Amino acid sequence: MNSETSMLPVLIVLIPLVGGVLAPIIGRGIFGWLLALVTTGAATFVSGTLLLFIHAQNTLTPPFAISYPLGGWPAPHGIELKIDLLSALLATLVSGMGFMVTLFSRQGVDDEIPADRRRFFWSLWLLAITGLLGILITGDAFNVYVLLEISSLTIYGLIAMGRQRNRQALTAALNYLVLGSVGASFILIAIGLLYAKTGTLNMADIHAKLLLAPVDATVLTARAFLLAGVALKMALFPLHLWMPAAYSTAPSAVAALLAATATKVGIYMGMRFIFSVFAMSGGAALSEANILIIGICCGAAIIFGSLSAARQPSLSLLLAYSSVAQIGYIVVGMTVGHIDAMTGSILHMVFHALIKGGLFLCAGILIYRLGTTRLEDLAGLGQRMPWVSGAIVVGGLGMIGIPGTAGFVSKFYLLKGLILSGHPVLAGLVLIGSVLAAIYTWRFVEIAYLRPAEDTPLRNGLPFEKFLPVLLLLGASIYLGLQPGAIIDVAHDAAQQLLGGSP
Amino acid sequence: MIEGLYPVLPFIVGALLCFVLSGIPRKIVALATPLIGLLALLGLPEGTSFQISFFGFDLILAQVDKLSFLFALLFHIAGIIGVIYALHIKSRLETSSALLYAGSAVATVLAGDLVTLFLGWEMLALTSAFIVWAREDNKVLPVGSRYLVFQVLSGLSLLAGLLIHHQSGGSLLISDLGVLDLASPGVPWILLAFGIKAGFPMFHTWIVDTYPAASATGTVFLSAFTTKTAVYALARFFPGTEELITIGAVMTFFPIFFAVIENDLRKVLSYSMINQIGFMVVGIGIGTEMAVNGAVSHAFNDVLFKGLLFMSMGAVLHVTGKTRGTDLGGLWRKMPITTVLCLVGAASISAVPLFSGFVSKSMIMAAALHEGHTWLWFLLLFASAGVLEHAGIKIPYFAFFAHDSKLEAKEPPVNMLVAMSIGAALCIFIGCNPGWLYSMLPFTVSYEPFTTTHVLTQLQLLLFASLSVVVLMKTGTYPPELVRENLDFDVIYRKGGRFLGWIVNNPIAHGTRTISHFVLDEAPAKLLGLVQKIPAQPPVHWQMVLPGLLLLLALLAFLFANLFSSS
Repeated sequence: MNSETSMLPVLIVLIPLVGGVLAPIIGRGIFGWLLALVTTGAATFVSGTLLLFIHAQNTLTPPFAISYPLGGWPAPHGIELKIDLLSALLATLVSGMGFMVTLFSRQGVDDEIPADRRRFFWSLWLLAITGLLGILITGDAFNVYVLLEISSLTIYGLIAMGRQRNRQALTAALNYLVLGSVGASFILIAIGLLYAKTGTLNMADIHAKLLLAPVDATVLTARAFLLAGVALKMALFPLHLWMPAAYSTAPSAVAALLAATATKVGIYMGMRFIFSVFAMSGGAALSEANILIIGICCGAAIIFGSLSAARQPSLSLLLAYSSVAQIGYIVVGMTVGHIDAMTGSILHMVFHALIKGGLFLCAGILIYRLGTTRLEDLAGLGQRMPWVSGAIVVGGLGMIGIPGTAGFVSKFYLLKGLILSGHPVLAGLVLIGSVLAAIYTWRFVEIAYLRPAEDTPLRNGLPFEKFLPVLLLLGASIYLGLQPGAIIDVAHDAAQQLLGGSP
Repeated sequence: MIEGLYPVLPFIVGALLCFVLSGIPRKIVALATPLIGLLALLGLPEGTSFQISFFGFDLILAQVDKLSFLFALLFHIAGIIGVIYALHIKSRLETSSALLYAGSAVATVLAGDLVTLFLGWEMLALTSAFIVWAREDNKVLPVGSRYLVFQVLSGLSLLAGLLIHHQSGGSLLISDLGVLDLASPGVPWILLAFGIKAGFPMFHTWIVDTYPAASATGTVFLSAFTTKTAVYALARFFPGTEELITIGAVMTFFPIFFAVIENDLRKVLSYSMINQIGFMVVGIGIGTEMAVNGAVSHAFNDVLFKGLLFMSMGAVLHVTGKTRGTDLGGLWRKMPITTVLCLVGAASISAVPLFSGFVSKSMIMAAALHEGHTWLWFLLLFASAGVLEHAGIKIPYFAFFAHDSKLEAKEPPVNMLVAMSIGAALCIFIGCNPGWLYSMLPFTVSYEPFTTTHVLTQLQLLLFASLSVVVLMKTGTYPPELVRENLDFDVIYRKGGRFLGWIVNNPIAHGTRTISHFVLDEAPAKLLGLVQKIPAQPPVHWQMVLPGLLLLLALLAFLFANLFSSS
């Protein structure tokens, strides 16, 4: 690593952190938005650069990861930032999505957040992104917990800010706060048990010590607590109950950011701990009993999430329940620990973030222009807002996994991995889920295109800066569906690093 | 000549422009499109060019040899005539799809590999269906759908055929393929695909269903491209395939009877089109150099004279709004120019010497005789007489002469007359100078059409056939026109389709409705029953208690899984 890139790892968290601290001071009026835009843009640039660098290095000398000792204190005693391909990929995704949603949300925030709160909103916004990015790049287990709390606390606040539009946002935020805190404490318990067992907090170090020591009840209890806590954070069925309420009542920008990034970071924690920390010697990271439980949860998530999505009264709730199902896909791919399934899982994380992010932005446009996302009020949307409803249909096709969209590529790898690793039932569930996704997408199509248009006036026009991110995200999902070669390479290498056991 | 331009590109650009432009600019673009395409075609080098990579396939967009060049040239001429003929219409959809349609036909015949051919084939199907639908008449909706079903079946059959062919190790490059052997895997599917588009017996119903139903201008386009693309494909891949002789003979034969009793004059022309394709298929089936030359040149001429006839009937339709023989008659006083032009077309299709049909059809017949197919020769002779009867006499007679229908009529717009005149001029030019057409044929021509025997035989045939018509008319024994619609083989499809529809609507739909009602409504309702029992605004503690309990449950489950099962 040369001197120009040597500072990059720490910049990923430092940039949004500084932005978050500055926001309450200088973030009045439009400056808050500009600050957030510049900050997230810079973070995207830094993480993107790192991704390209690591990918290039990894093809030369695999496995390659950047290790950066904070404050010059070397690991395992100092805090280490450790960025491998998966971290860099997801950091790029999170900061990129943050940038897109920020770009999107200037008028939306003006619309939904009272003027005197906006600078605090941007502060929370940037701190949440800081926390999420930090989780992705740290190599220290306790650090994960701290950053998780930073992101969670800020996210509770962000959700509660939706009260202007919907009073239920307060309930949803409180609900999520209580549950999220319990979940985080489970994770803390797991980390504590590991610390008690190994005497270290550095993930690579824990892993190395666990490999030497015999597996005992302490480690297994730690794993159980971790899985339960992480399952809540990633909103895996049946621990998803906080999510639809939070997503549908939060400000539209927050909903889009959370849907695209927060649950993905939860899944990342799961992947990281299961495969880089707990992985016992001999490959199989999770026992059959664990796979069974998680598999049942994922299957239920796919079926229940999709069916519920088809019955929701509003587009926001529909999208939120569809996320429940999509998380089922991602987790099922990661659980079985097969290289192709893991590739599919990582691909689906990226693609789902793009597609669901774009769709929540569309919902944001609906709120901005119509003031509602209730499906009943969307009759004839195809005529009234041809671009937006066209974009929603394109996103829906991606969620179904029509060939030519990104969703097809990731589901293809998931299916391949599930079948090759001997889980045909789970593969069948993935296929059924696609059919169910067609049902809830069709529901929108039917309402938007086959019903006569309502003549309630639109409140606003379609601002270009709102539609541009939608266009970019969904366009990216189509582009990656047609030219998936490069992203498959990255995801495959990332999966290989992860399953190889090196943190 | 424009070099380095793929001839299909102007059509795509032109179609897009025509969809957004209107008025004079649209007319200019529509006119310029086939002309630029023609210049680009003339600039194409011999052999392959425009190789691109598409989804991992190496496609050869253009492969020029004598056969493909002749058809591409023909399609450009037909495109120019068709655009001029349709210059007055206001339908953006029709103009744009017509240009795309012509472009797809050019793309199909220029294709250097089967995948490109397939892509062109499918585009041909889609764009032409929109031409049918472009007529502002509710009756064309089901017609267009039926048409599309046939075209899509043809496309699927081609796809299946080329996949099987490729799987069993066959090359997809046209330059490697040569003549396909019916016995090798996949090839029957390919022949079926071509056959559906060429209107083989029993698959011919879409021709007589669609062409009379499209708009006056739309039919002119439709008649020029689809079937001739199929003839090109047959001439390219199946020359000398014995089975085609029988199929072609049947095609020349059976439409005659339907054409005699048919009342709708455009439908008469559609039957006559099947009959003419029959001649070409016979020629391809015989497969000698002279026969293939005859088939190809006949395809060339057929586009011109059949187009001319469709144009003249289109002009009548445009002016009077009618195409039924019983409604028309006596129009020659009011439409003298159209009448003369229609007569030129009629003379050409009847193969009167010095008109274009003569120089090509006689080549096929001579080839049949030369190869010793005497019975076939007689059959073709009979069919020729039939052509004269229904296309050469019936069409002009019922439309322009016969009893005066006292319809209000005048000459059609100038652009229609110009288009028809170009067609008529080409018919006469080729009829008098066959050498021009012969020089472009795939094989060297050593055939001399204007020998005494040929001319005398043909004139005898024509005179006696005309005489018999006159006698039948005068004695009142000429078969009467059916005023209602005659469906011939289409009855099977429509009745069969209705039966299929009944099955889908009743037992199957009923069953699926029950199942989907259960899957979509009842089962989720039951699944969600628990959640739905929670009131719409549940008290805060309950909203947290359930997730909390579930979290605890999950923890217990994971603890159990980790601690008490053999890990």
